[in-house]
Amino acid sequence: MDEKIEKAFAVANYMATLANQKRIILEEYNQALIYYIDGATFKITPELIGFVKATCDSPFDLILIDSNNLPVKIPNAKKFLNDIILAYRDASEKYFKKYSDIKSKRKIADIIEL
Amino acid sequence: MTKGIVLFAQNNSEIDYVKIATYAARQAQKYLQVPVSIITDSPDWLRTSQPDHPFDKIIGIHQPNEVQRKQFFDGKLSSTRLDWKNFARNQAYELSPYDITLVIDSDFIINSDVLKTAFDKDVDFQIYSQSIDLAGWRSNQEFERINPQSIDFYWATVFVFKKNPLMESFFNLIAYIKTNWNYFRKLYNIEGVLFRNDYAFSIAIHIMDGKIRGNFAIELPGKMTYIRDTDILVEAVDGTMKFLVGKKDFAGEYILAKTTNLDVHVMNKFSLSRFIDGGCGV
Repeated sequence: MDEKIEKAFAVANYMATLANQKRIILEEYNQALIYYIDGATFKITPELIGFVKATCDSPFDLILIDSNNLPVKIPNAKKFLNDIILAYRDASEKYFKKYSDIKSKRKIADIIEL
Repeated sequence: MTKGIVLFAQNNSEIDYVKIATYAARQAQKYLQVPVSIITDSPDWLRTSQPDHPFDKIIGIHQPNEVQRKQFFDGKLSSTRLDWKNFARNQAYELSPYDITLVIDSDFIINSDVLKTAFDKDVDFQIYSQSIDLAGWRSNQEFERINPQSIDFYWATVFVFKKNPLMESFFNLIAYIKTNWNYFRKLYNIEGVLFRNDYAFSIAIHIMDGKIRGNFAIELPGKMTYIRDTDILVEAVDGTMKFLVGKKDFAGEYILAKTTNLDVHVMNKFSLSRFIDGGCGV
């Protein structure tokens, strides 16, 4: 095969691997954003953090609707806020690192760490 | 309330499901820290071939009177027609020794603690309907609905149930669907003739919901991540799995993919078996 064509196929393989791996690490990030409390499941989002921050000083109970549409009373709103911020930050930092790592790799073997 | 995991393992002439289930059980114990039991028609083989097995209880069942046969792929270019013993799943209710049970297929490899909290949820039944194919370009339409015009698809690969009269009815319903499979597959316009637990569960959930989209089945945390049997597992070490997934439009060619701390349904049992034997599934 012509060397140029061979190179083009190699680049295509690299691009396909990179695109697929980006999608997988995004899924890993989405899973890392899942947070549990008292049998309820939440996906941590900036909106959730913002809402809890806006209401955690209120004298009323914090009632949230979880990912399965089940209502849950949060026993300690401030602790909950702190926990979800930490989990969000941790997951986002890991995602950023993974993304930066694979973006900088120029070989398939390096992307997958063979 | 007792909590635990149950795996099913029924060997055929080429696939040692008992060996695969033993590996899956160790992974499950490592990440979820609950006892694991096995339901198998080969308890003697288990004790002989896996003397240091991790199982809490070994629950023997009879060899099935009837078996189905289906094509098992080992990558895109190799396949064999083998027995497929999948008729025992509805017995999970009566055979599970636990009050709250996580049932997993022997080829569902746990690499995270994401399912741990499913035990603490105050619901009767949890299962996956959402899934991710590790080959991003493939359509997963067949795993969204049981056919394009029909009801939502649910994966019988992984589910959590509580023992109570409601769930007993559900499993009785699955047994009824299994017995009358030809009727139900025609009613729900299912193309193939083979009985498939995913379809039976999807139909039973639809009926339990009053034949509308309801909330009898609660989504398990995360999504069902899978590779097809036309893909290949390369290796799995410390929560990281590497795969060769089929390339778009090039049968028999693959690209590499890697997951970290994702539970993965490895449909290629040959590849999984090779990895367990020798540390490499290729």
